[in-house]
Amino acid sequence: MFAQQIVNAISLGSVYALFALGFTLVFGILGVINLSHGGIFMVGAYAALLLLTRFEIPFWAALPLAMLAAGLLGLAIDLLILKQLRKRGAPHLMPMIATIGAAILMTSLSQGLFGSETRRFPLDLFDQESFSWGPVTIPVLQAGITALSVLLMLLMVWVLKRTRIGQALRAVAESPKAASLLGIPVERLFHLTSFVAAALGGAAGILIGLSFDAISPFMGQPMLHKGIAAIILGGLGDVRGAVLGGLFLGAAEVFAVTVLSSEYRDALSFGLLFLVLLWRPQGLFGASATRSA
Amino acid sequence: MLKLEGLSRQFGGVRALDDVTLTVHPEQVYGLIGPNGAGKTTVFNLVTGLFPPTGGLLEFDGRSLQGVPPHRIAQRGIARTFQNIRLFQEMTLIDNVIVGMHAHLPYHFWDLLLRTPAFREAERRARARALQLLHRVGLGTLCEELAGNLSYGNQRKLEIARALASRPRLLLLDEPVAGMNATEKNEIMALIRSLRQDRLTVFMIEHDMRFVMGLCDTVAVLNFGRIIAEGKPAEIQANPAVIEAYLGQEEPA
Amino acid sequence: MDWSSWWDTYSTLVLSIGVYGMLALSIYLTLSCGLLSLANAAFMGIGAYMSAIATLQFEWPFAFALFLGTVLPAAVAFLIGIPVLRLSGVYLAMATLGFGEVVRVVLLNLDITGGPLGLNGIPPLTTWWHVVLALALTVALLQALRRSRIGRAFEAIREDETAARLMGIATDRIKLLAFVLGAAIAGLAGGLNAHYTFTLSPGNFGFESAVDILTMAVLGGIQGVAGPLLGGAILTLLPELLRGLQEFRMAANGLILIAVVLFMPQGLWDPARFRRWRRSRGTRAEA
Ligand SMILES: Nc1ncnc2c1ncn2[C@@H]1O[C@H](COP(=O)(O)OP(=O)(O)OP(=O)(O)O)[C@@H](O)[C@H]1O
Ligand SMILES: [Mg+2]
Repeated sequence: MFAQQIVNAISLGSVYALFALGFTLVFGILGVINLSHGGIFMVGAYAALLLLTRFEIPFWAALPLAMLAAGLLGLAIDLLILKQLRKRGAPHLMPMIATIGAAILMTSLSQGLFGSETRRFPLDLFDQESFSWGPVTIPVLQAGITALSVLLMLLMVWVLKRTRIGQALRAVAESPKAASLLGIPVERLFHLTSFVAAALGGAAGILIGLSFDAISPFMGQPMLHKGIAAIILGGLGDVRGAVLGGLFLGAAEVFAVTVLSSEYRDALSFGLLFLVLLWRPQGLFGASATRSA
Repeated sequence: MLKLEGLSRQFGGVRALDDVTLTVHPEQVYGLIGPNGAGKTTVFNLVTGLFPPTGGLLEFDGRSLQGVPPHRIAQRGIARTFQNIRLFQEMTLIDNVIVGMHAHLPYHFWDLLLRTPAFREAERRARARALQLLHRVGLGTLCEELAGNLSYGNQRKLEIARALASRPRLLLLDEPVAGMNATEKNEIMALIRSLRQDRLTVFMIEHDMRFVMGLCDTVAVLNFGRIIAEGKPAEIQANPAVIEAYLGQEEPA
Repeated sequence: MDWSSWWDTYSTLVLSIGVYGMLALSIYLTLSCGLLSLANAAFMGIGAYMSAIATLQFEWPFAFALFLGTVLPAAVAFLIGIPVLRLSGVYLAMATLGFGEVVRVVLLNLDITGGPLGLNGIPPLTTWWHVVLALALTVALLQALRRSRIGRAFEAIREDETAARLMGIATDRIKLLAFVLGAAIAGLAGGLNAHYTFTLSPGNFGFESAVDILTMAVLGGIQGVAGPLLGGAILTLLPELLRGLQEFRMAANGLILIAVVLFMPQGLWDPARFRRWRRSRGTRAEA
């Protein structure tokens, strides 16, 4: 029973972490809270659904294509909205409000185009098998989802830690001004970050759509709340913190259901966030002060 | 009047101030000089309570400033200006100055709700005095402009007017003539002389040697967070340690 | 169409313009002090539930119910404000959002608030003059504050909190005042709202409402009290005007938010822009 809970917690938490990772990247590097990340997450799920059902593309191809679509959407938001505000040096309230607007727009358009009802990925997509291992049962689907999100996260961490681009990104996160003096193409890295973060968000949307077997125009909002909670728990702008925050939140939710009534589960993430902010504004795992929050 | 004893402040591993001891006496103009990054602004930040010292004592008028929040320190009679100007850019000049009088407007919440005579009288007086202060620093004709529209030199003057508005007994000036032209520097010099005539105590940081030597009674030199000399301007100019400290630096401003 | 049937059709809309105007003013108050607090929908909810419970279950007089609906959120704001207002910027926004979510879930799970069903059959006690009076008092209060040392302190804190502290302003107390007064105004608006909509449910006071309230203030502009009132009126009327768009109706709200931020960051009501217009028209007339 307990082992099963742990497996469930890791599986849920890893998708939260994937979502939070993109979210925190944008904050760490662009210095803005992008409140349309939940919308992008939802669009990613619908893009995959459309590719699978309308165009009957196999899943292995639909996943990267949907991520690409989500990434392009993120890039568009950066170019059309965030970049304009950067040029003007607008105060941090402005990107928050504009991205809330973008999220409302996306939700409303999806609602108009696809309807408000909950949709599902085609049933025959995956094996309904599961492995058993002692007391623990892991459906193949769940294992695949977990593996995929862990893989994407490891890839991201590797890029950030080991590559030249990662090094440049860390310099930008430290100080965009100093980075541009060093000849780093800061604007292009901003675009890249927006693209990659959105692609990760889209992937998380597909994986959550699969694991809860439900896609709806309204799925972005609660996920955004969880993402906010995760990155604040982990310390804003901190990549490792976001991953830990996502896992922690997943675990908290899985275990909370066993003690609390399920209605309180959704309040849990925000209750936690509220307490953490009062007690440790730098996050549970973050140690360093973050830039200009 | 202001006493610093063994004052220290560390930022992470950096010792910004190390065992600084000095005393500013009433009605003095006290100068603090030193190379860039020596820790001068940090002295002001500690005195005004922006952050606490990591060691040592701070006393104003015989009372400790330990743990006193910044607004209370201001209310006790210490006002300051900032090296990197911090005006309320989107407020008019006159409103900037009246903000400086905040703690001295003697009316209650219900006075302002009911617009009682006490409220109106206090506001009228505040405006009149603010205008007077603006005239004193030479900005009287611009009183309804927005602070953000002023030239650099005028912004520095407005900061002084705003600081004076709180009726301080000790005025801290952080590089009051940085970025000013010669005429403006002379105006500020005259202003500080007239303040001293009003028996105000001035504690000032400045890189311009002519300015410091022309105004100050006592000058202290800070280098790498330590006081390396203190004395009359003439003594300081002849002090080999001071010359060394400045020569060791690229560009003595 | 005669007056009484017109009023029967549109009274809710007219009253809502006033009530949402008050909500927009409540967030304007905190914004004018530099606080990005998104808790006003929650304070509105606390006020609405408190006053509805007072009239519905205890049958207390309406005026007393409204009084409770104003005071309870203010008291809650006072208690959470002391720790929460140590945060600033995005951290404050997130914490207040978190608080709002907690309030929503509590309303959803208490017995006295009717759980997920909410409260029904709240007596329709709010009349037009209640709303006009409450709105007028709110405007008068805000105007009185604006032209006083407290209003100047708000503005100073918004522009540079550190400098304001060093000018002798007790910034913590001033910010708490703005937060508590904002909560009181939102709570009163909630109490009035509950007594003409007949029903309350926890969903009315969640994230969406918080964003709606913020949108009103940003759309109208926060250069004075006229802006939030204008923003509140427009966003209350807009859904009625856009009825034909059906599902796409909310898209207009999203587009408005983006457009205002990009092209009119000061909001619709911007006295400085009006002055510029007048000046440029003046010069053209001379030429
Ligand atoms: N808030 C702070 N956090 C971290 N380090 C600080 C802080 N304030 C000052 N320092 C460090 O303390 C040292 C002294 O800084 P300070 O600003 O007091 O120098 P200064 O003498 O005023 O120099 P300048 O002539 O350039 O104004 C510097 O090394 C600076 O980097
Ligand atoms: Mg300095």
